[in-house]
Amino acid sequence: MTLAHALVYVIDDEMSMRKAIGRLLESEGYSVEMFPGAREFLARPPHGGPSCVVVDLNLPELNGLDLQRALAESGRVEQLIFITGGASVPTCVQAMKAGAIDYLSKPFRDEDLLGAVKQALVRASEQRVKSS
Amino acid sequence: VSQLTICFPRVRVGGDIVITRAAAIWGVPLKIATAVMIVDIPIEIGLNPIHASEGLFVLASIIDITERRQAELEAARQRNELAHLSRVTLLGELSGSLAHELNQPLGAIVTNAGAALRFLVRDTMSHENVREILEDIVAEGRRAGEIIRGIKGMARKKDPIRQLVAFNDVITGVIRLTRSDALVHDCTIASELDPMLPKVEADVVQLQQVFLNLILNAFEASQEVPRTQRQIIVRTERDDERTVLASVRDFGPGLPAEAPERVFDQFYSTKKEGMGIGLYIAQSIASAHGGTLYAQNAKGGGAQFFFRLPAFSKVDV
Repeated sequence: MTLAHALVYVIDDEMSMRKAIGRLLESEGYSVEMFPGAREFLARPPHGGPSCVVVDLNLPELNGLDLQRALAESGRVEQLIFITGGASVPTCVQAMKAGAIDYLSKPFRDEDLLGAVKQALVRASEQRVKSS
Repeated sequence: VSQLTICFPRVRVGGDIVITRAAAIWGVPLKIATAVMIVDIPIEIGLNPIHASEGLFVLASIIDITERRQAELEAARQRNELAHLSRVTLLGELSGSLAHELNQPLGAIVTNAGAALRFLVRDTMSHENVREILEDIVAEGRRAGEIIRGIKGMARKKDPIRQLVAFNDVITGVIRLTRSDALVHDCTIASELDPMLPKVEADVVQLQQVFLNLILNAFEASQEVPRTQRQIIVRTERDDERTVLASVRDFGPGLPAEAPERVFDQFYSTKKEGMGIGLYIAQSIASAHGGTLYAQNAKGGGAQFFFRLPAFSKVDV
């Protein structure tokens, strides 16, 4: 099942990983937009429909947690899914406490990412129903 | 010349050693004949002229330096052991971020392959798509292999081998190896490498070790300052015609002002679990290569380490 008008953002400074995640999501019929960094993503106007963000925790400059904070501060409601190549447990706990849907360690199982994305988009569309 | 010292490796034990006339005529080149070889013994020959009223005498001494030579070899062996120990410790410090570094290509491979399988099931993939995905998988597999090779070289215990090395390549390799560690420490590395830098004659692994030391220390020092300040600058330049110079600079709290050179002392460490041999070994590597490693506080804050090595020139051959 894919949600109509749903959009998944992928933020990873590693092009190879970004492309791979993009392909995986597209193979399941999602629309995907990719960014090499959090700044580039924040510069884009928010999507009108339900959306979620798959983001690498260890990004240079603005990292995943910074992005989470920046989104919260500007009142944006995008759901976040973190991926990590080996982030410390405290960092992941912090991310989850701040409301992330999930965090996945690379290399992760396709089902895990797709499951988390689905959950994030469902939550996003519920929020939209609530707020409208 | 009060003493002439000649080392020659082969003498016949208990046999005749003929020092042709040299004992009688000082100043004439020595000719030494050895008889049938049985055992190799390193010896040192000393000749001292003694002017007496009866004429010129020469006092000849032949010393068996087997023990001294063995002690030297033993010292070199211990130095290599310690260098290896220090390298393994460095790799240990890096292991967390090396795992991260490996998970990157592994993650891309697994996810790409997963995407391809799904495309196949849905029958929605063009040949062009398949080719692109497979190419990426191959490239990432190679990348993982390179990371492993880099670590293996450092971990391996072998005698140093001198060869012609491009300083810049060594530095670029070490920066790549520490990329994830830089992210973990919120540091950025800027490199300003002179593309025309002459090569040096050195052991690659030991050079890597020196730079790995300097860069990991710079990460460590940067933890004392705010994130925006955590920058590391690695430079190479030609110091003069015969010397290349590399420097690693951080913007941390700097070296102990009263005695900056103390950081090179054995067992000096600011790390909780540090053994304090990293910089000590790095300095001994520099001097074993005919170079120097020293440190000073940089203008504008932070520490700067300078690694100087003789440039290779064809004239030396």
